[in-house]
Amino acid sequence: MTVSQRTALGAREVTKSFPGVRALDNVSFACRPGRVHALLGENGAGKSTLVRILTGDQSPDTGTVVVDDVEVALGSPREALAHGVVPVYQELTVLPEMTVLDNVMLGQEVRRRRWLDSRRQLDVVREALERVSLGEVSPTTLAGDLSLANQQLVEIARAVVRRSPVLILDEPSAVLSGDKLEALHDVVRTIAASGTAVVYITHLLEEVHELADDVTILRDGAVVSTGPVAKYDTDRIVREMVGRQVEQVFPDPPDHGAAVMLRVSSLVPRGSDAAPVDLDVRAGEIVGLAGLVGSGRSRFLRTLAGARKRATGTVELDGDTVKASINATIDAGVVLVPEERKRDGLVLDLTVSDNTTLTSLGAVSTWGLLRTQREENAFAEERERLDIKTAGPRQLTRQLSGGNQQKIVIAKWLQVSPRVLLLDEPTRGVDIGAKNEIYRIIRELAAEGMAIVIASSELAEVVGLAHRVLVFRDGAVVGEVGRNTESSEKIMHLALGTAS
Amino acid sequence: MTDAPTTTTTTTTSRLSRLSSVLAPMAGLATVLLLAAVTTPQLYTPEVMRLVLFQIGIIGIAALGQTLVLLTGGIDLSISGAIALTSVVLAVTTNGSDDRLVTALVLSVVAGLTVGLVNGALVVLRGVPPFVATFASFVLIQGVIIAWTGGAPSGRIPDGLSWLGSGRLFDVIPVPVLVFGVLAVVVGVVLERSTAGRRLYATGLNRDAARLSGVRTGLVIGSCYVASSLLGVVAGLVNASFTGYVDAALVRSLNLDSIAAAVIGGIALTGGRGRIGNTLIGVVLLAVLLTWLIQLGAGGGAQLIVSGAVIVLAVFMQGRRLRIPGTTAGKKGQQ
Repeated sequence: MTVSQRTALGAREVTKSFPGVRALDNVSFACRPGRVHALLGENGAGKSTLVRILTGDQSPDTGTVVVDDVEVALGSPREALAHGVVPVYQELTVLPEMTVLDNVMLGQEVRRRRWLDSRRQLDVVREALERVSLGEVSPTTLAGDLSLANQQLVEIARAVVRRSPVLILDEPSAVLSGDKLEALHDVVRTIAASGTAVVYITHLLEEVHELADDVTILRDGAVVSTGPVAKYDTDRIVREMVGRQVEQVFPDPPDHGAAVMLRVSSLVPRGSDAAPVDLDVRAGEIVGLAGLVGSGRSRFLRTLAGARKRATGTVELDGDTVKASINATIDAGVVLVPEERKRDGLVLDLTVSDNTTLTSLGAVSTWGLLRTQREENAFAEERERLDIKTAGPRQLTRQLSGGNQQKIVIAKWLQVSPRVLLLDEPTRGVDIGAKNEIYRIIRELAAEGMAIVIASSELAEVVGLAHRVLVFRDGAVVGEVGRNTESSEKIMHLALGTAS
Repeated sequence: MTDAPTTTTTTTTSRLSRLSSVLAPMAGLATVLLLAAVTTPQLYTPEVMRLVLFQIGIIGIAALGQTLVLLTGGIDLSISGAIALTSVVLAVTTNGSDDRLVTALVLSVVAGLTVGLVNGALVVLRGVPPFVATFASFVLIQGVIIAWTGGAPSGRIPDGLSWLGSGRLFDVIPVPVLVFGVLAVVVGVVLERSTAGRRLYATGLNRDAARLSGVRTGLVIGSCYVASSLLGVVAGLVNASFTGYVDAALVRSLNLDSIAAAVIGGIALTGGRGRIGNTLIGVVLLAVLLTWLIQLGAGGGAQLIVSGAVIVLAVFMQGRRLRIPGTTAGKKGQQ
């Protein structure tokens, strides 16, 4: 079989920057008709940004998108659709209150004159459902009554009906398993065999070999490798995804004490069916939590911090039990720098000083009345210690850069002199300079004897900062990796489930 | 300190932005006063001015409670229920005699506490939308009043209380406006200078972040509903002792009036935005506006139309103001 050299969908030298981050750097990519092209990379490597550009959701700073060998400017997802580029996103867009039929035909209803042609619609939907192995599902079922896996397949049926020349599947396998996964693979193969170009994003590496014809690997916003799948075994894929430049950047973390300060025993978040998690952290120790997005790191940290309810498990600090509530946990000295800084970490429309003292209002007041001088002193102290760049204590927190906002979150917790600091994605959306300062702060706090747990999807960060790293997968800890030269690849194998 | 000048600048800008939020209601007030001077000069006679001051007092007390609830991001539609309930409790318990006045006062406060606690519990513990929870309370209270009084609430308010509604300091300033003034200072200090006020603003602006910072947001929100109902009781006492009898129709408009006053003054319906000064200016503006309409000979219908239109206008202008400096809301695709 000869491969068509036409580019069904591609990118030419695409660059895209966000404030403080270069998300894509001169990325070129080509997907041929009739081929399944796997797009691989760590979290934050630039896959999502590339998909958003290919589907017209965002426009590139420089470079162009190519559809059917022609350079096009896609102003919106609608224009991309008009060019035959159909995305199926990871976040489901199925409307639960509508029937399967209406969901599949949404935006592509079959009309006769101006009225819906119900009989034709039903035929079209039946055929599409058959193809995605949902033949047994009645088109009149409410989509919300289907399982998550079947909803995903409904979404794919929607794309099947379009018979478009290009299909983008963003982690379709994330919620599927067993038969359904097989069915998905069959559908993708038939779609590709009919000449459609399929861009397939996944974290399941065994899928890559089963399904893909071509592979492109992104790392730090650049294409590091691309070619036919035969040239890539699992080890090579992981190595290319991780890179090797990791360890030199970070100095060794400071030595830590011997006594266990924080002991977490068989913790299970409520509403989770994952295996219980145990964790011991010593004074001055930095423990990293790695894993893919959705692996349960954040949920574990939030549960540990008392922000989510526990199903089972105990938390002990220096041998004393910590009750499972946010206030009891804070009072004990276990505090969380949350993942969503703007949503959970800060009151953006209060001043930087107000945010800093929000955790310790008792200390800056007498008889319930605030003392401005004490508040400003408290802020000035943290501003000096953390090098927060702000016009003054009365500046609105919203006006600060991401890095300085994150420092305010840390500052507000330092006000309560915590024993254990939990950090969830502490450098997300933070520019490189502020990133290094946050790393410095974390190391200093550890050196002062604070126990630190840091979760991040940036592998380099976890490996570089931590004494040891726990790897999460499906809500459970699947392995522990010490600090050495092979850590990154070991962690990636554990996180992906490809460890031998 | 090297950065002292910048500190001063930001302080000045925040003062300016605070000033700008009362600019529109100030302009509105000036306009109404001017129009009144042309159309109904009798507004400026002492008798009518006293009526304006009384209106300021009664609407103001209710608006203070409403402000607290609005700052949490909620709304209290039961506040006039608390007011009506108070006058009925007063009338039924005392039947016009001073003997059981203390008992009546205690019962009124208990009634107010109950209303506030029910509202707070529904909103905080059950997550019922404030609009629904407090409106249900309002309907419930009306039902209780009708069932209790056989549908025709009547009865006299004891004379021992009449100073509260009709009394005047130095024979000039009506007591209701004094009560409002004192309460406004208390609420103002709580909002601006106390830890409770700081927690309230943090909760109203971002409940998740406040909770994760250790603020007991449920307690904060619940307290505001209780405070609002208790202020409703005070407004009820003032109103009942002014009219001297139970008048269910008069107090009904105070739900709308208290919201209107806070909102046209610049308190945001979205929570966390606005200060005590906004409520003060809004109360004055609304009281003058309503009295002017009465002087013009406008009926109840016209008054409601104007109140409604003013609220819509105020919310419309707030919507525009919120988007101006430093906010990313509405700029999609920039992230």
